[in-house]
This record gives sequence, structure tokens and C-alpha cells, in this order.
Amino acid sequence: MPANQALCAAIEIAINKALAISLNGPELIVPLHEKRCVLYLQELDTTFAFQFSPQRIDVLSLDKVEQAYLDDMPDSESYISVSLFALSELKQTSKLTKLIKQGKLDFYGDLGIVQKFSQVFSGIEFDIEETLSQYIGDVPAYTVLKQSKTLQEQAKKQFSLLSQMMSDAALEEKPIAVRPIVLANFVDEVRQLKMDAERFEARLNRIAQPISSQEKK
Amino acid sequence: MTTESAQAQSEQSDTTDFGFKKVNKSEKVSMVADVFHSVAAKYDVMNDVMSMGVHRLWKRYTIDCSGVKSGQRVLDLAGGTGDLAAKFSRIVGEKGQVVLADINHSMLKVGKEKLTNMGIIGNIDYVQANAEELPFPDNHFDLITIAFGLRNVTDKSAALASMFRVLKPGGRLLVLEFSKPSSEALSKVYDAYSFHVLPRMGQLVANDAESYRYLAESIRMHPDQDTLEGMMQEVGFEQTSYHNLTGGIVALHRGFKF
Repeated sequence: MPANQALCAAIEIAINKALAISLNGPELIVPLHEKRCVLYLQELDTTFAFQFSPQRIDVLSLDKVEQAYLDDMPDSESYISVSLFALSELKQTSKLTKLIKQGKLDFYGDLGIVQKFSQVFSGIEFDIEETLSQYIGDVPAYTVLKQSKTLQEQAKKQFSLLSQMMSDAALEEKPIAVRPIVLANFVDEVRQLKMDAERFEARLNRIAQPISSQEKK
Repeated sequence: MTTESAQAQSEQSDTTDFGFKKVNKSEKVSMVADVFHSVAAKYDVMNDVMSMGVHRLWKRYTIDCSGVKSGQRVLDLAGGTGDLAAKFSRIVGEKGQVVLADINHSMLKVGKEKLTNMGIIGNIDYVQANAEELPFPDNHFDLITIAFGLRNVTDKSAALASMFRVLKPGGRLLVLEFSKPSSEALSKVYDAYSFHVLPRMGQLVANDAESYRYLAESIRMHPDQDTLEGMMQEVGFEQTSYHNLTGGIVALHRGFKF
């Protein structure tokens, strides 16, 4: 089965569904009409092309792009080669130049296309309550959303508490050497033992003294 | 008799195959037309049911191999309900043109209705055309695709030659078609599925077992991968190659005109 095509289909369905239910999806892709953004993922050695039209975004899986293709690239296209790990940073248009400078992103063509493509993902807005209400009705949608918000806040609180505990546990000093108070106590106990031994010796001497004087007589 | 020699003999004589039957060449067109008139309305549903949706991935692979760009001219031959044409229309954009051609009026009607409902208008034309005598000027298209259509054509060599004529120098032809499974085990499973399950599915979903029996038979009579590649070379295509999909159940043939 063509795995890349299955992956493309999944990505395409997800993107277009998101655009369809968003508040501003169509406006975001208008400036990209008839443009194409080719994305090469370095670790996967896979090339995807995002083709924009007024209705939707089509995702294609391409063979590895040759240098000759890049040299003759039309104005309506742009090409980016990016590490999978830097992919999330593409959402921030301000970071694009930084990524290019750091060598994490190779780029050919019109940077404007990449910036607008990036804005689609960073600028997309949803009204989840409104979307949900179309399927389950207004009141259940409101209730579900309110409860999920409460749940989210509680989860966030618990998570922050847990993080704090973990961080405290990680930072806490572990007694890997004998602490001073333990040493002082040990010294005291040795001193006490020495004194007890001396007293015991003195007592033994006093007991032994009359016996030895009787033997001399 | 091998598929290759059967094909060669069939194209030289007045008879041709219609599934496993031998029929007069002049009869085949109307017999194939009857099949597609019958299945047109349920064509998309049946494709999804029969292939469990995998036909969409085969078609995607074809589009990915097309190399088509904005502003180009594409002929989607035997385009049926327009699965490929819809995507090509978006890729070539307003400056480009897509021609959805099919010999069968019913299929073309379903395709036109479907694409119009999808909002695909402006750069797409619908033409009822016989693949053997394409009604287009020489050197006209950048890309020609024919998906699951070539096996229904009476004279395949004439159709390939006609495609070669209307293709621009530098243009490419993509033929997506059922082919010969590469493994013996898969072949047996596939035969069982085609001849026992498929007609029953056809009966159940489209109320038409005969058309789907013809589908299974026509697949067996279609030239295998190497034979079809040879036929493409004979009419002038260069740099021909094919890629098996799903173990050779389907193959995508590619050829260029220079």
C-alpha cells in the first residue's frame, strides 16, 4: 500500500477539516491562492507539497526535489528543507530567519509564501462551542465546554503541583557525607566511652591493689 | 496462450475480448457502454467498497507522479466520475486547463455533476470522446492520465497512439490499471475475491452482478505489466517504466513523448 499517500491523505483531511470548522480558515488561505509550498523533512527523507486553492489545501507526496528544479522554480512556489525537530518552530514567522541562519532550514523561492503558510497554522482560530453545538445542541455544548475548562484548570493545577514536587525532589540535597551534627555526636560518644574505660580501669586497679599487697606479705 | 499473444491476435482480427467472451470489435463499444451506464450511479460507492478505499491511494499516487504544475493542460481520459480531474483542476489553477473525457455519457454526466457540486468550475471541460480517436489537436496536452479505463478500450494500441499524438513533446502519459499480482499466493487470493466476492458485492450494492463479473474478467484479459510497457514503446513513448501497487494488483505505467 502506498504509505506516503496514506499519510498525505490523513494530513490533507485533518488540515481541510480544521480550515472548514475554523472562524478564519478561508481568509488565511486566500493570499496563498494557486501557490505551492514544498516541504522536505530531512530525517524522514520525504517531500510533501502543499497546493493552495480557494476551496482547500491539497497535500502531495513528491520525489526528492533535484537542484535543477530548484533553480527553475516558478514564482508561485517555495521550497523549504527542515529538520523534523524544528518543524514546530515554523509556526512562528519571526523565527524563520533565525532558523535559516542556524542552518536548521534551507530555503528557495518566495519567502512570503512560507511566511503566509506559517501564518495559516499560527493564526487559525476556532469557536469550539459553536462547532460542537451543531452536533449536540447549544446547552450540552455549553456544559461540555464549561466542564472541560474546569477539568483543564484542575489538571493544570495538579500538573503544576506535581511539577513543583518533582522539581523540589530533584533539587533537594541528598546526605552523601556524614553531617556535622552526626560527627559531633559520634565524637561525644567516643569521648564518653573513653571516660567509661578509664573509670573502669581505675576501679580494676583499686580492686587489684589489696590483693597484690597481701601477696607481698 | 499468453496474454501478450492473445492481445496481438485479438487486435489483428475482427473480434476482441469482452471479459472472457469473444465479441465482434464493433459490438464491444456498446457492450462496455452498457456496463458503465448500469454502474455509473453507484460507481464511486462500489469503488470504495470493492477496494476498501485503497483506490483513492492508487489515484493519489498517480497524481503525485504526474509532475503537473500551475498553468498546464491535462487530459483525464476515461475520467469517469472525475476523481483525478478534481485534483488536477486545483493544481493547474485558473491559467491551466483540465479536460475530463469519457466515452460514456452517463459517467461523464455523473462526473460533471459531482465536480460542479464540489465547486470545481472554470478551468474544466467535459468531452465525450473515444480514446482511439481523440478529438484534440496534435501536441496539445502536458499530461494525459487514464485510470482504470484502458482495459475497456477495444483497440488499445490505437488508443495509445492517439494519446501519443495529442501529447506535447516533453509531456507524459500515466496509465493506472489493474495488472498481474507479482506473487502466486496473492494471485490466488485475488482470484477468489474477484470471481466470488466481487459479483456478490455488485449484486448487493449496485444490483448488478454481471457488470462486476465483467470487471473481474476484463482485468484478467488485460495485458500484464511488461506487455503494456512494450505496447507503449511501440507507439513511440520513451523512458517508459511501471510501478506495481498493492503487490501488482494495480500498476502505474509511465511514458514520455520527446
